[in-house]
Amino acid sequence: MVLGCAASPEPEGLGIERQPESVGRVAPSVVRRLSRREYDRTVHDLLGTTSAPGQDFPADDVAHGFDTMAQLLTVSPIHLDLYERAADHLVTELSDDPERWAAVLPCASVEPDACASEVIDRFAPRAWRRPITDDERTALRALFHEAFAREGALRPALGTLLRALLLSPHFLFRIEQEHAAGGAQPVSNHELASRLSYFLWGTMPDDALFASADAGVLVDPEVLEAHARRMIDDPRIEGWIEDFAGQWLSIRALDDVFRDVVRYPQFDEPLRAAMQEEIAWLFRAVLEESLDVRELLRMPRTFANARLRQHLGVPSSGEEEPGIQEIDGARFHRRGLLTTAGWLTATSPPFRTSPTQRGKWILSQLLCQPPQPPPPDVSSMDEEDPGASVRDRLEAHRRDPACAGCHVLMDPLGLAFENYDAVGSFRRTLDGETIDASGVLPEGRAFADALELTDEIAEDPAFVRCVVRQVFTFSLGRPPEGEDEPHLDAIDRAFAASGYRWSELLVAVIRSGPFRQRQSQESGAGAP
Amino acid sequence: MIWTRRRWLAGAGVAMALPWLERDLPMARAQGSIEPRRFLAYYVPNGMPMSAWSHDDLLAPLLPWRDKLTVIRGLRNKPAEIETAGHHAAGTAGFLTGARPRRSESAPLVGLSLDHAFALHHGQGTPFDVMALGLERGDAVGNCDNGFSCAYSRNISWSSPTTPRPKIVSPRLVFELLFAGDPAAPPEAREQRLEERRSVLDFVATQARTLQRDLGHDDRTKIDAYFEAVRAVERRIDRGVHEQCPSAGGLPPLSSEIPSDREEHLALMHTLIVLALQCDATRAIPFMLANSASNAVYSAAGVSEGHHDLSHHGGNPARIDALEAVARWEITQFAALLGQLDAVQTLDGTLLDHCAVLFSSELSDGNRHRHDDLPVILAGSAGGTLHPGADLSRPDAAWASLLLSIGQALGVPILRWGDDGETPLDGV
Repeated sequence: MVLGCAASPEPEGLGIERQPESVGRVAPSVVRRLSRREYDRTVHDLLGTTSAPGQDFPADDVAHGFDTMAQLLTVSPIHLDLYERAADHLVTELSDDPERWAAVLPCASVEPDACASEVIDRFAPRAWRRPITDDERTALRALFHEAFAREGALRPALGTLLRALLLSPHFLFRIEQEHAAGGAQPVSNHELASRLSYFLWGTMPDDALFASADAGVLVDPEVLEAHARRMIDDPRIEGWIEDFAGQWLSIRALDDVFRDVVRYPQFDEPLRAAMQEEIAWLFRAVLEESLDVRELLRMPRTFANARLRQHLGVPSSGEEEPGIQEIDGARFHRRGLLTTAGWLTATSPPFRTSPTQRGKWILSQLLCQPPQPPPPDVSSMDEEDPGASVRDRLEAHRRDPACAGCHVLMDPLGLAFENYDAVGSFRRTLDGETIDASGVLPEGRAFADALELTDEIAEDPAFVRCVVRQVFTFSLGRPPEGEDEPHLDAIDRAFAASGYRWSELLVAVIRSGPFRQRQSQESGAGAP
Repeated sequence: MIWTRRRWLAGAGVAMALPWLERDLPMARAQGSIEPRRFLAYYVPNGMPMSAWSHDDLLAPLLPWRDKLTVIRGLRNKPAEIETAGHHAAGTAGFLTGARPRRSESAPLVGLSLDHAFALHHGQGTPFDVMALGLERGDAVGNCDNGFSCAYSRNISWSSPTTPRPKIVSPRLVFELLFAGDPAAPPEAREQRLEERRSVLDFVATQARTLQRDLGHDDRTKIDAYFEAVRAVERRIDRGVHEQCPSAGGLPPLSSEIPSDREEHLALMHTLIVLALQCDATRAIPFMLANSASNAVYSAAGVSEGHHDLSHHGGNPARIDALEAVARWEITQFAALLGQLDAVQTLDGTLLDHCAVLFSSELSDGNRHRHDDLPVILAGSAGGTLHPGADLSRPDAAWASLLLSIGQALGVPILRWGDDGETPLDGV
């Protein structure tokens, strides 16, 4: 796509003194608190719980498309209240389940001191995702003694210890220590283990990662890569799909979608859930079958449960299988993400479709060319001649020079999808007129309909570049900065050389400098 | 009693730069009542249909409290008048700060909000300095406004220019926070539980302090916020909220599920607001009926279209009718809250008399994103420092001037507020 409308980079100012750009540097990052979802997955892995206390936490603010932005993951008193309450709940729940207690906090001795020491030595490093220091061990023992004196019994005193471990900044934050002022430094083995596990799984490291970190070999790029490949093949990669694809592809945004019940009576909760599943399955198929990521946009199959099959007009075969089935997309005018009912719904307002909104989504999310915000006092479409067709009204819009720069990009993209209504049903006519979904790209190439356009977008070099930048932003919890450019170029090349496989992109990001290093926050010393 | 800068900072318990503070400030206009003053900010999104904003139309439900409130016309939130889109975010960010937010997705910057300025002054003696409440959490993406952080759209409460105070939306959670510990448990058991909490909090606070040594500058700032949060909870334990709030005030048992019926959800929140203020659990409650630019559907108001969509009615009479129905519902609910506050008797007057209640929105005309002639209701007399009863018209006066007036009426020693609150609003 041609530029000319892209928003100028926002004057971000992370509050950090910028160093001059040079190859080998990495951009600064700050310590990250666990997001609500990361908290829930972490306590699940740590304690074997199935409860999800994070659901009660305040929503994590979203920036650059993701809720994993380091700068925004802060702590307020209400967070602390809720962490305290969550820890209480988790400890109580664990005490009520002796079997799980024994599995999580094994201690061979019944002698309180020995038992506490065993718990401290074995459980605390897992909770804090790193070995504990002698000072910490002493402090934890002191806390236990105090609790034991107060409670007079082993288990309640261990409960206090557990609460403290779960409320500690070492549990709630992914701490990365500042070793020396100035320049980029490699992160430690255990810091790297957490970077890796929270990126790919959205949770704490597993035993194998801990073992490599404890042995001090995780910083070896080959060992790191072997772990990354193992983790991509592990079912816990769902954490990445939920957090990354869930946000990037608007699966989560469907949670908040509202549809007018009179116009779209078919939009109910089962359909909403089926729409979300469809996009997740599509994403998963490209990942698991090791397909070219561009297949996301041109996949000939789609994935529908009985509710969605009915919605898409798939004839029932008598014996109805309720679960997900693969459907030949072409028979139902479907081809990849941009013709999934879910995407078409998520990008529409409650009453109608919005070609502008769909076009804007494609530019921002798939091509990383977000349009500038509209100029002030711009009229919305509803204020214009209501007799005219959507296409005519948008054309009038594009004649306004203040609007043309962006609408000339957004509208042809969005209009191509007018064959799909605000819940993604296929239609040939709108208000009695045959829909014309054809268009011409700014470069001059013509397309007949959404299916042809979607191929064009997949082929656009901006798409694969954008995929890289979305993954990079998600993984580091910050948008790319100038210092990252040489690293991003290298990732772009590795991604292309692999034939655009997800797994190779993830590995390339993990092997990159910014992922394995952190920039000192102290400006004083300045690197040589 | 004269507040000096030094005493203020000592009372505030935090070292922060407060450039707008002056030494030896004039005190609040009235002293006398032993009943503390409270501040309730009541935010509704998407503006108001101003053509119907009159006592015989939208405001009719407020009639019983007309002598306890002032309807103010003409105020203008100039800092929110940004040049490009993002008006919902800018108006909401300026709601209690009176300041223009930085256009940034990931590094929000706006200003301290009035509830926190008041809390720094008055709220240190209460278990919660500020209790931010609302109905919508806003989990999913897509609620941000043209390059402005979602933080601007979801919060009106800013404990520092860069730190929003997240709001609580679960009635059950508010209840549990208010009645920390089990009020029915024997005193020794309760004391033992508090001891345990103190020791755990003390342990993690020490850890945070130790940790600071090993962190870079920006990370230290973040861990500082954690440390301050721990201190806030410790202070609250020391004060024991349940002692001030011994009974649940006849509330029904609350489910951990958030009610799906919005009117029911709101009614519970109203009851908890009254309870929190009555028990002196907090003196500052910023409340958001919904998030900025919310597209909630108010079926209780008899409409089926989203609120934000309706606010862009484009002059369509049917949609204006529906928008007015939502506004009427909002005012009716707000009137019910005033009734609840006014029904609580204190030694001198009612709880409402000791409150400053500010009702407004991030916009006036949502259809065209106007920030002038904002819809404003100021209720209660803040213990006699506000003089409600007569309506005011102050065309083009700064919204921040009203915030300044409210702050001064609450006894906050400020001489200006936000970007353009240079003088108090005449006649408040």
